[in-house]
Amino acid sequence: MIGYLAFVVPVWIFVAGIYGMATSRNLIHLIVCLSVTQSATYVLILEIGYRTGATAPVFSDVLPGTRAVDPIVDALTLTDIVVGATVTALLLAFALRIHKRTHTLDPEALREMQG
Amino acid sequence: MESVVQAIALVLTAAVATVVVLTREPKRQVFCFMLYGLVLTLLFVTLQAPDVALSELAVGSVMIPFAILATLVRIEHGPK
Amino acid sequence: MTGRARTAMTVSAGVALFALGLWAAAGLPAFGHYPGPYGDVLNTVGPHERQIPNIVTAVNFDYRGLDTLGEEYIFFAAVAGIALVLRDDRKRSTPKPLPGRHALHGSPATDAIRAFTALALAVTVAFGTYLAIHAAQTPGGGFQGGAILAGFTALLFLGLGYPVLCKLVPKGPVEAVEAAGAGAYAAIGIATLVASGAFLKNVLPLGGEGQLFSAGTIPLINLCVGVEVCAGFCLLLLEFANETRVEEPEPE
Repeated sequence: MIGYLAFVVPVWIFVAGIYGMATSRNLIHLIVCLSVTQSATYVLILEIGYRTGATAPVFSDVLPGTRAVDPIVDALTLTDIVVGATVTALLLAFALRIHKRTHTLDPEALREMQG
Repeated sequence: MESVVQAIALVLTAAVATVVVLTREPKRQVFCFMLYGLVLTLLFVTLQAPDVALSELAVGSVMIPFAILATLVRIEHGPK
Repeated sequence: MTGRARTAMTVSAGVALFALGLWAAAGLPAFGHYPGPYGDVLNTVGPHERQIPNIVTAVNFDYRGLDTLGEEYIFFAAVAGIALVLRDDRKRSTPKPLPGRHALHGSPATDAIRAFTALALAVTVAFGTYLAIHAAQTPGGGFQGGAILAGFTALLFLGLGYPVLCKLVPKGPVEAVEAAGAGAYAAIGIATLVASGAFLKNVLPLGGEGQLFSAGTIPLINLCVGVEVCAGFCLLLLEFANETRVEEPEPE
Protein backbone atom coordinates (compact mmCIF):
# COMPACT_ATOMS: atom_id res chain seq x y z
CA MET A 1 0.00 0.00 0.00
CA ILE A 2 2.71 2.43 0.97
CA GLY A 3 4.60 1.34 -2.14
CA TYR A 4 1.89 2.58 -4.46
CA LEU A 5 1.29 5.79 -2.52
CA ALA A 6 4.99 6.53 -2.41
CA PHE A 7 5.29 6.73 -6.17
CA VAL A 8 1.93 8.34 -6.90
CA VAL A 9 2.67 11.41 -4.74
CA PRO A 10 5.78 12.73 -6.56
CA VAL A 11 4.15 12.23 -9.95
CA TRP A 12 1.03 14.03 -8.71
CA ILE A 13 3.06 16.97 -7.38
CA PHE A 14 4.95 17.18 -10.67
CA VAL A 15 1.80 17.23 -12.80
CA ALA A 16 0.09 19.70 -10.44
CA GLY A 17 3.07 22.04 -10.67
CA ILE A 18 3.05 21.88 -14.46
CA TYR A 19 -0.69 22.54 -14.51
CA GLY A 20 -0.11 25.59 -12.31
CA MET A 21 2.62 26.85 -14.61
CA ALA A 22 0.61 26.40 -17.79
CA THR A 23 -2.53 28.12 -16.52
CA SER A 24 -0.87 30.91 -14.60
CA ARG A 25 -1.81 34.57 -14.97
CA ASN A 26 0.93 35.97 -12.77
CA LEU A 27 4.67 35.52 -13.17
CA ILE A 28 5.32 35.16 -9.46
CA HIS A 29 2.68 32.44 -9.13
CA LEU A 30 4.40 30.72 -12.06
CA ILE A 31 7.79 30.83 -10.37
CA VAL A 32 6.44 29.34 -7.15
CA CYS A 33 4.77 26.54 -9.15
CA LEU A 34 8.14 25.86 -10.79
CA SER A 35 9.65 25.48 -7.34
CA VAL A 36 6.89 23.02 -6.40
CA THR A 37 7.62 20.99 -9.54
CA GLN A 38 11.30 20.85 -8.63
CA SER A 39 10.48 19.58 -5.15
CA ALA A 40 8.66 16.59 -6.66
CA THR A 41 11.97 15.36 -8.05
CA TYR A 42 13.59 15.61 -4.63
CA VAL A 43 10.88 13.45 -3.08
CA LEU A 44 11.16 10.85 -5.84
CA ILE A 45 14.91 10.54 -5.66
CA LEU A 46 14.89 10.20 -1.88
CA GLU A 47 12.28 7.48 -2.12
CA ILE A 48 14.48 5.53 -4.50
CA GLY A 49 17.25 5.50 -1.94
CA TYR A 50 15.05 4.50 1.00
CA ARG A 51 15.28 1.14 2.69
CA THR A 52 12.64 -0.16 5.07
CA GLY A 53 13.71 -0.27 8.70
CA ALA A 54 17.01 1.46 8.01
CA THR A 55 18.52 4.47 9.68
CA ALA A 56 20.13 7.65 8.41
CA PRO A 57 23.65 7.20 6.95
CA VAL A 58 25.33 8.89 9.91
CA PHE A 59 27.30 6.50 12.08
CA SER A 60 28.03 8.67 15.12
CA ASP A 61 26.05 6.53 17.53
CA VAL A 62 25.36 3.33 15.62
CA LEU A 63 27.97 0.85 14.50
CA PRO A 64 29.09 1.09 10.92
CA GLY A 65 27.43 -1.80 9.17
CA THR A 66 23.86 -1.31 10.39
CA ARG A 67 21.29 -0.97 7.66
CA ALA A 68 21.27 2.57 6.37
CA VAL A 69 19.63 4.38 3.50
CA ASP A 70 21.55 5.44 0.45
CA PRO A 71 23.90 8.38 1.20
CA ILE A 72 24.42 9.39 -2.41
CA VAL A 73 20.89 10.55 -3.09
CA ASP A 74 21.02 12.48 0.21
CA ALA A 75 24.14 14.28 -0.93
CA LEU A 76 22.69 15.03 -4.36
CA THR A 77 19.43 16.35 -2.98
CA LEU A 78 20.82 18.63 -0.33
CA THR A 79 23.04 20.58 -2.70
CA ASP A 80 20.21 20.57 -5.22
CA ILE A 81 17.76 22.25 -2.83
CA VAL A 82 20.08 25.14 -2.03
CA VAL A 83 21.03 25.71 -5.65
CA GLY A 84 17.41 25.40 -6.82
CA ALA A 85 16.34 28.06 -4.38
CA THR A 86 19.01 30.45 -5.62
CA VAL A 87 17.95 29.94 -9.22
CA THR A 88 14.35 30.64 -8.14
CA ALA A 89 15.55 33.92 -6.64
CA LEU A 90 17.27 34.72 -9.94
CA LEU A 91 13.98 34.12 -11.74
CA LEU A 92 12.27 36.48 -9.30
CA ALA A 93 14.85 39.15 -10.14
CA PHE A 94 14.00 38.66 -13.81
CA ALA A 95 10.28 38.97 -13.08
CA LEU A 96 10.94 42.21 -11.22
CA ARG A 97 12.91 43.54 -14.17
CA ILE A 98 10.09 42.63 -16.54
CA HIS A 99 7.66 44.50 -14.33
CA LYS A 100 9.86 47.57 -14.34
CA ARG A 101 9.99 47.57 -18.14
CA THR A 102 6.41 46.67 -19.04
CA HIS A 103 4.40 47.34 -15.83
CA THR A 104 2.61 44.03 -16.08
CA LEU A 105 3.13 40.56 -14.67
CA ASP A 106 0.67 38.73 -16.90
CA PRO A 107 2.29 36.17 -19.20
CA GLU A 108 -0.59 36.71 -21.60
CA ALA A 109 0.30 40.35 -22.08
CA LEU A 110 3.98 39.66 -22.62
CA ARG A 111 3.63 38.12 -26.03
CA GLU A 112 6.23 39.63 -28.29
CA MET A 113 9.89 40.06 -27.56
CA GLN A 114 11.00 43.60 -28.07
CA GLY A 115 14.53 44.67 -28.56
CA MET B 1 4.45 1.81 12.26
CA GLU B 2 6.85 4.03 10.42
CA SER B 3 5.05 3.42 7.16
CA VAL B 4 1.93 4.95 8.71
CA VAL B 5 3.87 8.12 9.51
CA GLN B 6 5.32 8.13 6.01
CA ALA B 7 1.89 7.65 4.46
CA ILE B 8 0.49 10.58 6.44
CA ALA B 9 3.45 12.78 5.46
CA LEU B 10 3.10 11.83 1.79
CA VAL B 11 -0.63 12.54 1.67
CA LEU B 12 -0.09 15.87 3.47
CA THR B 13 2.62 16.83 0.98
CA ALA B 14 0.40 16.11 -2.00
CA ALA B 15 -2.49 18.08 -0.45
CA VAL B 16 -0.41 21.14 0.43
CA ALA B 17 1.25 21.10 -3.01
CA THR B 18 -2.18 21.19 -4.62
CA VAL B 19 -3.16 24.10 -2.37
CA VAL B 20 0.00 26.00 -3.31
CA VAL B 21 -0.69 25.57 -7.00
CA LEU B 22 -4.34 26.53 -6.74
CA THR B 23 -3.69 29.74 -4.75
CA ARG B 24 -3.51 32.35 -7.47
CA GLU B 25 -2.76 35.47 -5.47
CA PRO B 26 1.01 35.70 -4.81
CA LYS B 27 0.61 37.37 -1.43
CA ARG B 28 -1.32 34.38 -0.12
CA GLN B 29 0.72 31.87 -2.02
CA VAL B 30 3.86 32.84 -0.11
CA PHE B 31 2.44 31.61 3.17
CA CYS B 32 1.17 28.40 1.59
CA PHE B 33 4.69 27.91 0.23
CA MET B 34 6.19 28.32 3.69
CA LEU B 35 3.79 25.67 4.97
CA TYR B 36 4.80 23.47 2.05
CA GLY B 37 8.45 23.86 3.06
CA LEU B 38 7.62 22.72 6.58
CA VAL B 39 5.64 19.71 5.36
CA LEU B 40 8.45 18.76 3.00
CA THR B 41 10.90 18.95 5.91
CA LEU B 42 8.76 16.49 7.89
CA LEU B 43 8.57 14.17 4.89
CA PHE B 44 12.34 14.21 4.49
CA VAL B 45 12.77 13.37 8.17
CA THR B 46 10.46 10.36 7.85
CA LEU B 47 12.53 9.24 4.84
CA GLN B 48 15.62 9.16 7.10
CA ALA B 49 17.39 12.09 5.44
CA PRO B 50 18.19 14.68 8.14
CA ASP B 51 20.68 16.67 6.04
CA VAL B 52 18.12 17.26 3.34
CA ALA B 53 15.52 18.29 5.92
CA LEU B 54 17.88 20.93 7.34
CA SER B 55 18.52 22.33 3.87
CA GLU B 56 14.84 22.52 3.00
CA LEU B 57 13.95 24.17 6.29
CA ALA B 58 16.51 26.94 5.91
CA VAL B 59 15.73 27.58 2.30
CA GLY B 60 11.97 27.19 2.19
CA SER B 61 11.20 29.22 5.30
CA VAL B 62 13.62 32.12 5.01
CA MET B 63 15.25 32.65 1.65
CA ILE B 64 12.52 32.21 -0.92
CA PRO B 65 9.67 33.86 1.01
CA PHE B 66 11.91 36.85 1.77
CA ALA B 67 12.78 37.23 -1.91
CA ILE B 68 9.14 36.88 -2.98
CA LEU B 69 7.89 39.37 -0.38
CA ALA B 70 10.56 41.93 -1.28
CA THR B 71 9.61 41.55 -4.94
CA LEU B 72 5.93 42.00 -4.13
CA VAL B 73 6.63 45.14 -2.08
CA ARG B 74 8.62 46.62 -4.94
CA ILE B 75 5.99 45.75 -7.51
CA GLU B 76 3.16 47.24 -5.53
CA HIS B 77 4.73 50.37 -4.09
CA GLY B 78 7.67 51.08 -6.34
CA PRO B 79 8.05 54.19 -8.43
CA LYS B 80 6.15 53.83 -11.68
CA MET C 1 -5.63 30.65 -27.47
CA THR C 2 -8.31 31.38 -24.94
CA GLY C 3 -8.04 30.48 -21.29
CA ARG C 4 -10.60 27.69 -21.48
CA ALA C 5 -8.91 26.00 -24.40
CA ARG C 6 -5.57 26.20 -22.66
CA THR C 7 -6.98 24.75 -19.44
CA ALA C 8 -8.62 21.88 -21.32
CA MET C 9 -5.43 21.08 -23.19
CA THR C 10 -3.37 21.28 -20.02
CA VAL C 11 -5.69 18.98 -18.13
CA SER C 12 -5.73 16.35 -20.87
CA ALA C 13 -1.96 16.55 -21.29
CA GLY C 14 -1.61 16.39 -17.51
CA VAL C 15 -3.66 13.21 -17.30
CA ALA C 16 -1.50 11.62 -20.00
CA LEU C 17 1.67 12.75 -18.22
CA PHE C 18 0.36 11.36 -14.93
CA ALA C 19 -0.35 7.97 -16.51
CA LEU C 20 3.08 7.95 -18.14
CA GLY C 21 4.71 8.84 -14.85
CA LEU C 22 2.92 6.02 -13.01
CA TRP C 23 3.92 3.53 -15.68
CA ALA C 24 7.53 4.72 -15.39
CA ALA C 25 7.45 4.52 -11.60
CA ALA C 26 6.12 0.96 -11.80
CA GLY C 27 9.39 -0.06 -13.40
CA LEU C 28 11.42 1.09 -10.42
CA PRO C 29 12.39 -1.29 -7.60
CA ALA C 30 9.72 -1.46 -4.92
CA PHE C 31 9.67 1.28 -2.30
CA GLY C 32 11.91 0.37 0.59
CA HIS C 33 14.00 -2.18 -1.27
CA TYR C 34 16.96 -0.16 -2.43
CA PRO C 35 19.01 -2.64 -4.45
CA GLY C 36 22.05 -0.75 -5.60
CA PRO C 37 25.52 -1.79 -4.43
CA TYR C 38 27.17 1.63 -4.47
CA GLY C 39 25.42 2.99 -1.38
CA ASP C 40 26.07 -0.17 0.64
CA VAL C 41 29.74 -0.16 -0.28
CA LEU C 42 30.07 3.44 0.83
CA ASN C 43 28.26 2.81 4.10
CA THR C 44 30.50 -0.15 4.94
CA VAL C 45 33.81 1.20 3.75
CA GLY C 46 33.42 4.92 4.41
CA PRO C 47 33.64 5.25 8.20
CA HIS C 48 36.89 3.34 8.37
CA GLU C 49 38.50 4.56 5.18
CA ARG C 50 38.01 8.24 5.75
CA GLN C 51 37.52 8.24 9.55
CA ILE C 52 34.24 10.11 9.22
CA PRO C 53 30.87 9.14 10.72
CA ASN C 54 28.72 11.29 8.45
CA ILE C 55 28.82 9.50 5.12
CA VAL C 56 26.67 12.11 3.37
CA THR C 57 29.35 14.75 3.99
CA ALA C 58 32.01 12.31 2.80
CA VAL C 59 30.08 11.73 -0.42
CA ASN C 60 29.58 15.45 -0.90
CA PHE C 61 33.14 16.57 -0.36
CA ASP C 62 35.32 13.56 -1.02
CA TYR C 63 33.82 10.77 -3.07
CA ARG C 64 31.83 13.13 -5.31
CA GLY C 65 33.71 16.31 -4.59
CA LEU C 66 33.78 17.43 -8.19
CA ASP C 67 29.98 17.47 -8.39
CA THR C 68 29.83 19.69 -5.32
CA LEU C 69 32.35 22.04 -6.90
CA GLY C 70 30.08 22.39 -9.90
CA GLU C 71 27.00 22.95 -7.76
CA GLU C 72 28.77 25.59 -5.72
CA TYR C 73 29.71 27.43 -8.87
CA ILE C 74 26.09 27.30 -10.05
CA PHE C 75 25.22 28.96 -6.75
CA PHE C 76 27.93 31.56 -7.23
CA ALA C 77 26.81 32.34 -10.77
CA ALA C 78 23.15 32.62 -9.75
CA VAL C 79 23.97 35.09 -6.96
CA ALA C 80 26.14 37.07 -9.37
CA GLY C 81 23.25 37.09 -11.84
CA ILE C 82 20.85 38.38 -9.19
CA ALA C 83 23.26 41.18 -8.25
CA LEU C 84 23.74 42.04 -11.92
CA VAL C 85 20.05 42.13 -12.81
CA LEU C 86 18.93 44.03 -9.72
CA ARG C 87 21.73 46.57 -9.63
CA ASP C 88 21.40 47.41 -13.26
CA ASP C 89 18.02 49.01 -12.72
CA ARG C 90 18.90 50.75 -9.51
CA LYS C 91 20.89 53.93 -9.46
CA ARG C 92 21.48 54.51 -5.79
CA SER C 93 19.30 53.49 -2.90
CA THR C 94 18.60 55.66 0.09
CA PRO C 95 17.50 54.50 3.50
CA LYS C 96 13.99 55.87 3.06
CA PRO C 97 11.37 53.16 2.74
CA LEU C 98 8.95 53.11 -0.16
CA PRO C 99 5.78 55.15 0.36
CA GLY C 100 2.61 53.29 0.97
CA ARG C 101 0.52 52.01 3.78
CA HIS C 102 1.99 48.54 3.83
CA ALA C 103 5.60 49.34 3.00
CA LEU C 104 8.36 47.69 5.01
CA HIS C 105 9.48 50.43 7.33
CA GLY C 106 13.08 50.74 8.33
CA SER C 107 12.90 50.91 12.09
CA PRO C 108 10.73 48.69 14.23
CA ALA C 109 7.96 50.09 16.34
CA THR C 110 8.59 48.54 19.73
CA ASP C 111 11.40 47.51 22.00
CA ALA C 112 9.93 44.05 22.27
CA ILE C 113 10.74 43.39 18.63
CA ARG C 114 14.31 44.55 19.06
CA ALA C 115 14.81 42.40 22.14
CA PHE C 116 13.34 39.34 20.49
CA THR C 117 15.42 39.92 17.38
CA ALA C 118 18.60 40.14 19.42
CA LEU C 119 17.77 36.86 21.12
CA ALA C 120 16.86 35.18 17.83
CA LEU C 121 20.07 36.46 16.27
CA ALA C 122 22.15 34.85 18.99
CA VAL C 123 20.40 31.50 18.58
CA THR C 124 20.58 31.62 14.76
CA VAL C 125 24.26 32.47 14.61
CA ALA C 126 25.20 29.89 17.22
CA PHE C 127 23.14 27.12 15.66
CA GLY C 128 24.20 27.92 12.11
CA THR C 129 27.87 27.98 13.00
CA TYR C 130 27.54 24.73 14.94
CA LEU C 131 25.86 23.02 12.01
CA ALA C 132 28.40 24.30 9.51
CA ILE C 133 31.45 23.28 11.50
CA HIS C 134 30.37 19.84 12.70
CA ALA C 135 29.76 18.51 9.23
CA ALA C 136 31.84 15.42 9.76
CA GLN C 137 30.26 14.28 13.01
CA THR C 138 26.56 15.11 12.90
CA PRO C 139 24.05 15.75 10.13
CA GLY C 140 25.04 19.14 8.86
CA GLY C 141 27.48 20.75 6.55
CA GLY C 142 28.46 23.83 4.67
CA PHE C 143 25.27 24.10 2.65
CA GLN C 144 22.81 23.70 5.49
CA GLY C 145 24.82 25.63 8.07
CA GLY C 146 25.54 28.45 5.65
CA ALA C 147 21.89 28.78 4.72
CA ILE C 148 20.76 28.87 8.35
CA LEU C 149 23.54 31.29 9.29
CA ALA C 150 22.60 33.66 6.50
CA GLY C 151 19.15 33.95 8.04
CA PHE C 152 20.63 36.48 10.41
CA THR C 153 20.60 38.99 7.57
CA ALA C 154 16.85 38.63 7.24
CA LEU C 155 16.48 39.02 11.02
CA LEU C 156 18.60 42.16 10.98
CA PHE C 157 16.54 43.71 8.22
CA LEU C 158 13.16 42.85 9.68
CA GLY C 159 13.88 43.44 13.34
CA LEU C 160 16.54 46.07 13.61
CA GLY C 161 16.11 48.06 10.44
CA TYR C 162 17.84 48.88 7.19
CA PRO C 163 20.57 51.22 8.58
CA VAL C 164 21.75 48.51 10.98
CA LEU C 165 21.73 46.02 8.12
CA CYS C 166 23.86 48.28 5.95
CA LYS C 167 26.38 48.82 8.71
CA LEU C 168 26.71 45.17 9.76
CA VAL C 169 26.52 43.50 6.34
CA PRO C 170 28.43 45.79 3.97
CA LYS C 171 28.35 44.89 0.33
CA GLY C 172 32.03 44.96 -0.51
CA PRO C 173 33.42 42.64 2.17
CA VAL C 174 30.56 40.16 1.69
CA GLU C 175 31.33 39.91 -2.02
CA ALA C 176 35.01 39.46 -1.28
CA VAL C 177 34.32 36.72 1.28
CA GLU C 178 32.05 34.89 -1.14
CA ALA C 179 34.63 34.98 -3.90
CA ALA C 180 37.33 33.84 -1.49
CA GLY C 181 35.23 30.85 -0.42
CA ALA C 182 34.53 29.80 -3.98
CA GLY C 183 38.12 30.23 -5.02
CA ALA C 184 39.48 28.39 -1.99
CA TYR C 185 37.60 25.23 -2.97
CA ALA C 186 39.24 25.19 -6.36
CA ALA C 187 42.58 26.10 -4.78
CA ILE C 188 42.34 23.09 -2.46
CA GLY C 189 41.59 20.94 -5.46
CA ILE C 190 44.59 22.22 -7.33
CA ALA C 191 46.77 21.81 -4.26
CA THR C 192 45.74 18.17 -3.92
CA LEU C 193 46.35 17.74 -7.63
CA VAL C 194 49.88 19.03 -7.20
CA ALA C 195 50.43 16.96 -4.08
CA SER C 196 49.21 13.62 -5.30
CA GLY C 197 48.22 13.63 -8.92
CA ALA C 198 44.44 13.46 -8.50
CA PHE C 199 42.10 16.44 -8.20
CA LEU C 200 40.51 16.70 -4.74
CA LYS C 201 42.19 13.58 -3.41
CA ASN C 202 42.13 13.38 0.38
CA VAL C 203 45.78 13.84 1.27
CA LEU C 204 45.77 15.46 4.71
CA PRO C 205 46.18 13.22 7.76
CA LEU C 206 42.99 11.52 8.85
CA GLY C 207 42.54 11.78 12.59
CA GLY C 208 40.61 9.46 14.85
CA GLU C 209 36.97 8.93 14.10
CA GLY C 210 34.66 11.40 15.81
CA GLN C 211 37.25 14.03 16.48
CA LEU C 212 36.68 17.51 15.17
CA PHE C 213 39.85 17.67 13.08
CA SER C 214 39.58 14.37 11.30
CA ALA C 215 38.94 13.13 7.79
CA GLY C 216 41.62 15.02 5.95
CA THR C 217 40.55 17.66 3.48
CA ILE C 218 36.83 17.27 4.22
CA PRO C 219 36.57 19.82 7.08
CA LEU C 220 38.61 22.34 5.08
CA ILE C 221 36.43 22.06 2.00
CA ASN C 222 33.34 22.11 4.19
CA LEU C 223 34.51 25.35 5.79
CA CYS C 224 35.09 26.96 2.41
CA VAL C 225 31.65 25.92 1.20
CA GLY C 226 30.00 27.12 4.40
CA VAL C 227 31.64 30.53 4.14
CA GLU C 228 30.73 30.84 0.48
CA VAL C 229 27.09 29.76 0.89
CA CYS C 230 26.58 32.07 3.86
CA ALA C 231 28.09 35.06 2.08
CA GLY C 232 26.15 34.26 -1.09
CA PHE C 233 22.83 34.12 0.71
CA CYS C 234 23.67 37.34 2.61
CA LEU C 235 24.30 39.04 -0.70
CA LEU C 236 21.04 37.68 -2.11
CA LEU C 237 19.04 38.96 0.88
CA LEU C 238 20.88 42.29 0.75
CA GLU C 239 20.02 42.78 -2.90
CA PHE C 240 16.37 42.01 -2.33
CA ALA C 241 16.28 44.23 0.76
CA ASN C 242 17.69 47.06 -1.32
CA GLU C 243 14.74 46.67 -3.64
CA THR C 244 12.41 47.95 -0.95
CA ARG C 245 14.17 51.30 -0.72
CA VAL C 246 13.48 54.51 -2.57
CA GLU C 247 15.82 55.33 -5.41
CA GLU C 248 17.52 58.60 -5.95
CA PRO C 249 18.27 59.63 -9.50
CA GLU C 250 21.88 60.08 -10.37
CA PRO C 251 23.01 63.71 -10.32
CA GLU C 252 23.49 64.86 -13.91
